[in-house]
Amino acid sequence: MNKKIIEIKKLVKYYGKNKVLNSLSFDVNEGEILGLLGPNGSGKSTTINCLLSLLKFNSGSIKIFGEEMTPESYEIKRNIGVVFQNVAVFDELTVYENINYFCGLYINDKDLRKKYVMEAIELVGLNDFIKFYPKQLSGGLLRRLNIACGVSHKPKLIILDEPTVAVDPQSRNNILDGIKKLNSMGATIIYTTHYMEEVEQLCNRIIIIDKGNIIASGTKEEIKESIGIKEKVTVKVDGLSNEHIEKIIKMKNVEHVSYSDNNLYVEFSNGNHNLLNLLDYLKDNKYKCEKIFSELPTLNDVFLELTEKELRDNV
Amino acid sequence: MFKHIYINRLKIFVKNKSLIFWTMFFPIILGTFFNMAFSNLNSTEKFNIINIAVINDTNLENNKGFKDVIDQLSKKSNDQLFNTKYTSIKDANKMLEDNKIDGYIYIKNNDIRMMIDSNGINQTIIKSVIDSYKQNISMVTNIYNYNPNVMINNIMDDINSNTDYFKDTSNNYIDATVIYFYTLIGMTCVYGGFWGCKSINESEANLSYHGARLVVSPVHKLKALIASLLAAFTVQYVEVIVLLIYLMFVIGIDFGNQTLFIFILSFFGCLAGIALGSLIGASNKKSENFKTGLLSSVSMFMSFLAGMMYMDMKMIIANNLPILGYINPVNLITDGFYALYYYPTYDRFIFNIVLLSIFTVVISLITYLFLRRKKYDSI
Amino acid sequence: MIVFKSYFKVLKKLLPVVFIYFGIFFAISIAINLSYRNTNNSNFDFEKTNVNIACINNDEDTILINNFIDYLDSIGNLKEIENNENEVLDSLFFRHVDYVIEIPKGFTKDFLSNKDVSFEIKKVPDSTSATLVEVLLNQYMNKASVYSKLGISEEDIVKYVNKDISISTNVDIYKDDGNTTNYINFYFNYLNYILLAIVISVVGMTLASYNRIDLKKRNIVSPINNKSRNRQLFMATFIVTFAIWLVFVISALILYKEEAFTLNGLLIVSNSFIFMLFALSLANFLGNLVSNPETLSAISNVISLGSSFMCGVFVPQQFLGDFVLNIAKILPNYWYVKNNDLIANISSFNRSNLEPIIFGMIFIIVFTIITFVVNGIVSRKRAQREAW
Repeated sequence: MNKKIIEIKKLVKYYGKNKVLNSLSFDVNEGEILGLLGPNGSGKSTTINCLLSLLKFNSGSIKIFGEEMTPESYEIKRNIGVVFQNVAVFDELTVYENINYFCGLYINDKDLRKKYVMEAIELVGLNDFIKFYPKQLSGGLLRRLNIACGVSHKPKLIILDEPTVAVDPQSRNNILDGIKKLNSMGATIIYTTHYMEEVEQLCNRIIIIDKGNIIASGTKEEIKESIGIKEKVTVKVDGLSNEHIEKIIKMKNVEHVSYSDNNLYVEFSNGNHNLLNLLDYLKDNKYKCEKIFSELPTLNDVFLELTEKELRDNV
Repeated sequence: MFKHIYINRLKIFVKNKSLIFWTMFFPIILGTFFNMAFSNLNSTEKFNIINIAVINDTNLENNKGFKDVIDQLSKKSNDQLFNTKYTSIKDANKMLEDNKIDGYIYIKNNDIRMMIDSNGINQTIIKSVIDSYKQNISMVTNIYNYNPNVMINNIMDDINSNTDYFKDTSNNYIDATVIYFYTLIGMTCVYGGFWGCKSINESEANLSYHGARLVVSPVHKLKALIASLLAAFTVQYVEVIVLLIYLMFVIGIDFGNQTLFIFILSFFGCLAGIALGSLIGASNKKSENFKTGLLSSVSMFMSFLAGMMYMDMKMIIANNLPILGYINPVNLITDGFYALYYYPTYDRFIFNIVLLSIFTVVISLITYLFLRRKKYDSI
Repeated sequence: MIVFKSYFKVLKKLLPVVFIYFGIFFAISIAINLSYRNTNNSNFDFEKTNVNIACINNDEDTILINNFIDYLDSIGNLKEIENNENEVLDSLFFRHVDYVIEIPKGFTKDFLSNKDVSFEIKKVPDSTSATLVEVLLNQYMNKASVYSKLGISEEDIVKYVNKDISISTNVDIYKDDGNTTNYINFYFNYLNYILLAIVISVVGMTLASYNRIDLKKRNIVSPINNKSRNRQLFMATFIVTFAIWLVFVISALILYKEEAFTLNGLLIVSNSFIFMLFALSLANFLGNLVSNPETLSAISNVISLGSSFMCGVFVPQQFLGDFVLNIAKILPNYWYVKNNDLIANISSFNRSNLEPIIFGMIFIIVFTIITFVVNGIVSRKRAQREAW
């Protein structure tokens, strides 16, 4: 089951004197959807481009399907589908012609190609736009076309580099559904993004990259486990005295407490019944609690914890 | 695979309206302008009647022979040369100042003289008329001195006759304006560079995402590129042929009976143009706008050096800096066309084709050096 | 002044393209003018043409032939070339010579016995001076023929003919104040091509990227009112155009020191200033009308090259056909070029000489104003477009 599709070992890449990949090593298993997560400039795209033998790298090794990847590894390339973060389609060709052209780089058989192209159009839901030219498509539809061009030849390995940047919700859902479908049909998928929700929704396994280093990897549960904070509780309490705050800090499992604008904010580490214990304590001391929130940590918290910066620097 | 890429590239090229405009319609429009500008040059029959004045005084009255000649030349007819006003010296000066006449003729001390304000063809014609009159008088005097018995009236016809002693044996005499059209064809061939540049841009991973898509596919890069360049060549060659047909049948330029050789020359011209565009595409990572701007400026400059805006430019370069002519494909194409009509042999025509081929090969090799790397330092 | 400043930021991004245009057009203008200097040294010298003549003599060195060759040397530049077909063709091809005369064997003998004889010539196509040479040589031969028919001896024929052809009309030059300009008007005529091409490309391209739909929307909703915005943009484009014009004028002043600092030079510069205003208004109009840079560069090329061919820049106006000229007369470019040619030939600045020039200038100004007005109407219409 756990056959390795990609093995990356100690990948190092410099841009000039700038080290952008710092001895990166990871594997991709057959059948999984691997999320490559990181802020802008973290090295995600560089990793992808090295993987595809587009970029020179300084040291390390890359094996795909068990073989060394080189620019001439045409058999490997035949089984890879790539969707780059920028739309790369020909304005002069229609939706159908575009997909047909790129599919034709992989599939020689005309009839088979025709079938594949129609399936790709079906997959991304562009059936109504077959004869349209890219300029006539909205941003979201264009992204879908871009994806169709990359995956129409039914590759075993699909690499998607931020395919949903600046896409409307409908198109985004359509795209994510499509990716799941491709995965269910047997394709292994590498998905880079800085949208946390997508990773949560889509990926079996996540690798978080920052400044060319892997700072966390595993399933999303594993990653969340790996950081201290497990539960965050916010309670609106009027007039909480400092004395009581001190006492709350000393309670079991409490990691951090703050109080402002009548809002009590408590972070807990491991353990159960944390919220109940806190509410009991407040109740015992005659405080009236309104509006109680409790949330489990998100990947964004994980990210904040690990890198001390927001995942999505609001560009 | 090759066919798949070739056909699709053809489609992509043909549907690119702005490049089709540049590479086909622009030369056709320019050719039409050439034709408008030169249409009159070919029919040199139309001679302007020259405005002159002759000072009407007693000196003129004493020189009736000369006045008769002027009157004869000023008579309304198809051969009318002068439009003559007999007037006073004061009025003649005024007319000269106001550019109403090109010059005036006056007689002083029995010598016919002329007054002009600026020099030009018209002034030269006025002078030659007077010269000729005076020289004829001199001849009559000479003959009289030699033998007073000769009846002057009998030889007057001989004196006035104008036998042509020159037999023009120029090979395939062509009028010079055709060279403008040659440079136009040369420019159009070099415009093939637009397609070459586009081909490179869309095949290189570090120049466009289209290129990246191609490079990650299992297609040999060079093979894909050659298919694309071949499509570029096909489009440009067909466009040049369309232009040739337009020049021959619509504008009516006479290219003689060398159709096959014209096609051969255009063939090599298009190759050179596409090579040049490929080099511009491959040699830098600037924007596509920059590259097309560079290419159109470079080809315009080459056309200029080949004589498109100023015909003597071509000869000035050939005589002073011939190497510049040998490395300029527009000039080589122009020169090749010219040689085709001008020389009875094909030596010079072939020489131009060889130089064009060398240009193409050298440029292609340099381009190849740029493209040779398979991986990029940065994208 | 925010719009004004931002314009120059847009311009800065286009600088590499601007420099390419500038460099190449500048090279063109200098090359043209240097070449004009080398070839056009015609002033009031009627006797000697600039034609390079080669003579291949297959006859013996008779008195007649020798005298004829001496005459050739006096009316043109006699050049030596080898007597073989390819050499002759090459010399003509490269314009080392314009005219090759081949004297056949036994020419003198046949001529003196009044047989029909002729020279074989080869010449470069369409050379006016070569035609003039031919006329002169024919006159020479015709005169010799008259004497020969009377049975006059070879020595005497030569003597008489020499006497005849030495007669030449005295030409007086009216008020030769040396003010007529010979080259500077060519430079300024070519400016029609160069100024239009650069200004439409540069100003048009910057305005076009300025007017790119997203940006324009943002501009329109911004608190700067449309009028002030347009005024600032106009100021910016004026400064750019003026600077371009100034560079060319200054280089003209350097290249043509002797001619530029005369009244003629001043008039020609003023004429080009007015034309620069026209180029500016046309570029503004096109920049507002067309937002696609490729279309714009196509229009710039068609307009600059087309008007140059039709209005007498590349082919002098006197050689253009009536049909073309009549069309050209509705274009300001025609009047600009015509003015340059007129100004170059003025030697006395009186009313009747200046009137046509002033008419031409007024024509260009009126055309400029019309372009401005149309531009204003179009840009107002476009600002209020209902759908983007």
